[in-house]
Amino acid sequence: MRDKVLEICRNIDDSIDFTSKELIDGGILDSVTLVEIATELMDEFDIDIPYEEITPENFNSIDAMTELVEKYV
Amino acid sequence: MIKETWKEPWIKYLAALLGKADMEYNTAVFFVFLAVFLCLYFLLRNPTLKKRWILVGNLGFYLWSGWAAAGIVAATAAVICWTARRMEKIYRGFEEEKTGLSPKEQAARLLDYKKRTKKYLIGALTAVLGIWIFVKLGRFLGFGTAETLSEAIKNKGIIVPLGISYYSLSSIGYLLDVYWRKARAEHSFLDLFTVMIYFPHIVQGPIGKYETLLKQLKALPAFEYRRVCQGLQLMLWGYMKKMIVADRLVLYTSAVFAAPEDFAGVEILLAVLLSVLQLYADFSGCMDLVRGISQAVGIELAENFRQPLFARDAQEFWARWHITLGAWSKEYIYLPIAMNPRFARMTNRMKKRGRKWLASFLKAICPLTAVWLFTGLWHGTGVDYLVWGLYWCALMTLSKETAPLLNRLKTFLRVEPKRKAYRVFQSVRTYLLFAAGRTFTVAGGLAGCGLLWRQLFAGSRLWTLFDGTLYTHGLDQKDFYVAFAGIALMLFVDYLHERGISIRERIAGQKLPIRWAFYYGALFSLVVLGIYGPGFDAASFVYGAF
Repeated sequence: MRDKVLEICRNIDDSIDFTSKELIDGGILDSVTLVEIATELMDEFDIDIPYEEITPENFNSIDAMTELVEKYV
Repeated sequence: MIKETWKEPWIKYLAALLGKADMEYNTAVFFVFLAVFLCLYFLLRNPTLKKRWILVGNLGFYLWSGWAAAGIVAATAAVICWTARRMEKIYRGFEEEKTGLSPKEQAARLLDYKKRTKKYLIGALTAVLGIWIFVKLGRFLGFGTAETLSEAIKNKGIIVPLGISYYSLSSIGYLLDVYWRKARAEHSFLDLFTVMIYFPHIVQGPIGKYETLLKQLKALPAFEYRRVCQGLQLMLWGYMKKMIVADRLVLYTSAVFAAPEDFAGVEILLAVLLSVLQLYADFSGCMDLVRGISQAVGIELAENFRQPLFARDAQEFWARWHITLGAWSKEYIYLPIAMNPRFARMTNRMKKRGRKWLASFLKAICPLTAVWLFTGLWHGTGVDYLVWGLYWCALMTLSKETAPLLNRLKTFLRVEPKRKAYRVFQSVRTYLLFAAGRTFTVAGGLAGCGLLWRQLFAGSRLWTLFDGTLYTHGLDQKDFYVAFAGIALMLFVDYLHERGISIRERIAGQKLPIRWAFYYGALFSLVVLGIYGPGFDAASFVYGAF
């Protein structure tokens, strides 16, 4: 699952260092890229991520994103 | 006659003077209010008493603008408080039920609970938005403002609660946060009401999050000389920006924008360029002064400006200018639309059918258009503001879509993006784009904008800058020099902040005589160079009108 999430993220923008644990808090992901990633995850795993889950804690790292997806798969 | 006047007790005079005056941040009445408020506040030790004293201060400030307006805002606060608590109560049922359920089951159960809370949310949002839209529409249709209910009915006027555009946004944000379970509902009505009409932020923002403010209100710090001193310094700096730069420049710019047909092209160009600095000094000056006051109280308000004139492009500019409005629209408009599952599925389907570019374009433009239409309408109800919003939307989209092309062009021309000269060019370009955007609204609508542009190119008459004509439109030569010195100081301070230098910390590190020389110098320059408006009625703050 983690590898798949990482692959999706890299497909969207491979210039970003996704090993960071502060993707949102560190200002690495802007809102446009964040939306791209979230909607792509929804599409790829066929899930609906509710808006309240779009928080820095859930998108700060690949691990956090994986955990979020696992909750809805 | 004079003898008779002197017989009147002075207290009656003072009451008459105060009764007539508006309570704006730059009026004598406000200084008296602030001095009394702060002195008594610093004497209090009990945290509850301190909180309640802030509420008394807020009410004193708010009631000055009329009892009817205060009644409306109190009723709104009551609705918000009750709704948030009601929603939390429903969610408590979910918290009890969720133990033992798998994450997937929990998500399904939560949907049911959300359906139940949604009814309350929609009711409260309708109330808050309803009043706000009613006021906006009333203004758009040209109704006058009234202070009392009977006056409103008799003269067909509308009651405009002070700061409605600011507290409505914060309240909507608070309700949505509780609905999305991102914030806890406040149980004390008095505390919620205190932060809602907190006098430093009620007139012009910053648009704060109630949760952050409530946390600070419940843990007010004790009096600390350093904090209070630094707060008052920030306040003083805000007054300097407002009264030395903004109120001076506005004398010239408002004269030009009131009748562009009477001015030469070069004078109009100067007015358009200066109007950006005037707005910046006015709005950011107000933010500095209210943040300073609040810092003295012990409540940190959100930052609204971060050296916007150093921004390299439109996107960065709006991340530095009126930050709290941008953050609000991103959190409550942009992301909810962009993340809407139906919208996401639609664009993803498009992508799969091979229309990759269109999908990505729609994904970016739909939420962005909504944000900018809202931002335009927030500033004003006229068509000019809508066009202004669309102008920024178009600029942002263009800059995103043409980025790859421009990058190729830069490589071809061997432009080094990290060079200082290129960065200066980018900042100047952003400044000019902002100035061009200002022309839509400054001359009283789109017709005025057309006239402004026509006149700009009709006759430049360069010599008006040098033959003394320039100094006959409200600002004399000396005033221009003072304004430019003020602008230079403002930009220098921004430059230091951009480099991460804290000026107040540096001043605090100096020896006592130097420190006090700074304070006295600032105060003295404010007293001598500040513009006090015609008849000593201080000029209004631009953003207080929204």
